[in-house]
Amino acid sequence: MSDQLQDELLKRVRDIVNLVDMDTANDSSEVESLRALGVIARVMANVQREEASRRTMKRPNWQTVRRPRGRVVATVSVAIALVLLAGVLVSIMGDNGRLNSPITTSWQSGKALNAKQAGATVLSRHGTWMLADNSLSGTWQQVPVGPPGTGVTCPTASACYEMEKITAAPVENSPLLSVSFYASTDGGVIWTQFTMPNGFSPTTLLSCGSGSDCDAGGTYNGQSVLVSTTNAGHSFNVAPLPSAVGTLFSLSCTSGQICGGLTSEKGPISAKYHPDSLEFSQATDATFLLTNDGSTFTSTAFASGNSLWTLECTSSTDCVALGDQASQSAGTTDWAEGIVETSHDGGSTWTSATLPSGFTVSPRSVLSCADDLHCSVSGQISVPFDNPPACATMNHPSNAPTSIPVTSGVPSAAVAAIVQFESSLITSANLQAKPNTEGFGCSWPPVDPVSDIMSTSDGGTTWTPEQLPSSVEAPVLNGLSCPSDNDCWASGYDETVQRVPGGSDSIESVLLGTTDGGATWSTVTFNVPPGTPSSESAFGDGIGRISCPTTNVCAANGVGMADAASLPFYRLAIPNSAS
Amino acid sequence: MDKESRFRALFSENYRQLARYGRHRGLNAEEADDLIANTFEVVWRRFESVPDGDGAVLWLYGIAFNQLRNLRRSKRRQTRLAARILPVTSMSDQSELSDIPLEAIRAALQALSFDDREVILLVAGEGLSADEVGVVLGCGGATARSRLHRARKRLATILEEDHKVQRPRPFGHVPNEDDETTEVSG
Repeated sequence: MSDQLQDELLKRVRDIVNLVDMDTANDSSEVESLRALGVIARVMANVQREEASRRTMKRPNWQTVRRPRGRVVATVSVAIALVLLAGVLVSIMGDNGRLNSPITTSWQSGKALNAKQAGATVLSRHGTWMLADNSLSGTWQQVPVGPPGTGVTCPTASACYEMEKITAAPVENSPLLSVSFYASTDGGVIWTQFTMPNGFSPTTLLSCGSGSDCDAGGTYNGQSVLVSTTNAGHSFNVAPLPSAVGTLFSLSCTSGQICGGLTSEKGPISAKYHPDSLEFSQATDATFLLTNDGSTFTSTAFASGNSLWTLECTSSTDCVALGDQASQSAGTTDWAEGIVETSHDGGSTWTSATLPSGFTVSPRSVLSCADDLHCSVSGQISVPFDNPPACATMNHPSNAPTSIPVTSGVPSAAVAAIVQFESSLITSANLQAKPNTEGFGCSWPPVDPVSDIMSTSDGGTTWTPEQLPSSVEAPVLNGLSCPSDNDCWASGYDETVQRVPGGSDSIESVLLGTTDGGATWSTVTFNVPPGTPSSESAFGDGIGRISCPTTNVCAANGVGMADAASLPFYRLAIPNSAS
Repeated sequence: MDKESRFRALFSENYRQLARYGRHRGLNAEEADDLIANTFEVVWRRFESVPDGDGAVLWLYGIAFNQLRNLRRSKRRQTRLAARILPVTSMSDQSELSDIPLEAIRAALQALSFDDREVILLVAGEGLSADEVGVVLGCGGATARSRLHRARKRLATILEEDHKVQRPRPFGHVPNEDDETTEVSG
């Protein structure tokens, strides 16, 4: 169709919109004014109730921010520090402003994360949510005052960290104002906020190898760097990456301040749990980078044209990287084999293997390894299904499963069995769906990308896809954490309607757990108390990352929109006797 | 003027346009009011960020867009909301665009991804320029133009396939989350 015809098409779309306008033109201005009055009254009542609850909320003891004892002393100290910093900067930065050697920020005390910044609205309006009735041992609890991030990582049972961009507006690609680092020393209940170096923009998630050591890849005024802290966020070291390796997009740090990373000159990928800059189906041409917190760097290039996406190192010598075959992942039903690279010598040499075909490793896959033999990874399978019967009247030529074209390859038998299982679940639900009821929808083509998990117990040579619970119809996983060979937790969302008073379908969080190495997965169900609003944007996206440093301690982020007033934070603490 | 007075003024100036925005996306009057209420609750919390002048309505569209997408994200991939937006009927084989019934174009719109459909509706429904669409979606004008170009092309391709005009419809695109969800500000 020519551009001219496409313009004409837009005019036809405008005709459709005009018809809608004509339908509503019968509303008198008086009716419209009344409606507007009703809406603004509702808005003002809600915002005033929120503000009143914030004003009357008693500040817990832990939120007390200590005032500096000597304001004058502090001021002088800051002035001296600035002078010294200026001198240091002159010596370490070239004429073009680029870093030639690492810099370290001055010590900061941090700021207690208070109820006004996060969680107050949820706490005051809805009380504390308890996630009960779980089929696994232990109780999940929602922490009302959590950090606003989406990528929690807990290197120990008590130490948890997050990193979060502060942007100018709650829209995509809004200018970055600063990056905050959040630290907790009690498993995610109480948080302290620190400021990361001005000019830093993360391109990886935070990776914390031990109780007070964390690292993140990113750019510093446009230059590729590794930012690290060894004192839980009180100060940061900014180390420039070697030239010609590009920017870090995956980072995995182990104890001893050793980090492995994947870099690409095609980056950066954002630091969100949902990478978005390097496009799926694009070759990453990744390079492996090994560093000891930025002091030294060693790089090893993978074969050109590779499309590795995620890396996990369990020691300074053992690492595994996963990816897809970029040249073949161009369609919805791409069943090409994924690729696995393993190293047991700190990345000097790598051994290649393949994943079962039909399981796609993408930029949002999460890899978690309990040790050098046991790893699990979340990925995507394509599931064809039957639309609800009513969709047939829509007469779309592609609404039959048999019409789905295959881009490449065929799924392995193990993946095909999972696909068949998921397909029957979705089809079964669709058979019950009627127009204008909850859950009704038509998809063309009738195929959905659905998350699955694949595991290895032999260091990455063979991988087995795992069947997720039937209660989760179409899971989309954001997080995966395996604290032991047998225990794994996965987090995300599902389109399944959750049990909420009032019939809301806005809550769709998913927590899955296994205690037998993935042979069986169970669902943690949510018991939402009365009084929960029927629509709360902060809970609409389910759960983001999950981090389980031990078999009986986990923390997880709730995910919401960028403009959500607050985000929930979840923690699991299983008594030792129950584990 | 204090914050509440300015807030109320902003609401009055833009209520009608946002109601129209909601109705264009298939919401009934009550749902459109819910969308507006949710949008302005966000606006209250971020009132200091509202741009002056003509930029305000684009900023409001951006918030409403996020609210709408959040609403949609909580439903199935092709939501009942979308189904209600664009009711379809059986189509007959026709080859000229002018002969294609509006119902068929509605059906083709429904087959688009949420983001593609939004770009087209912002232009055709709200009358925005590509640069203004860029402001709403938080991307540059060039990116918005590129998105509009792709969306128009996909819409045309779907129609071509439905009406059996020459080229077959290329099968989909990589099913990433951009089709279904908003980025969480990271």
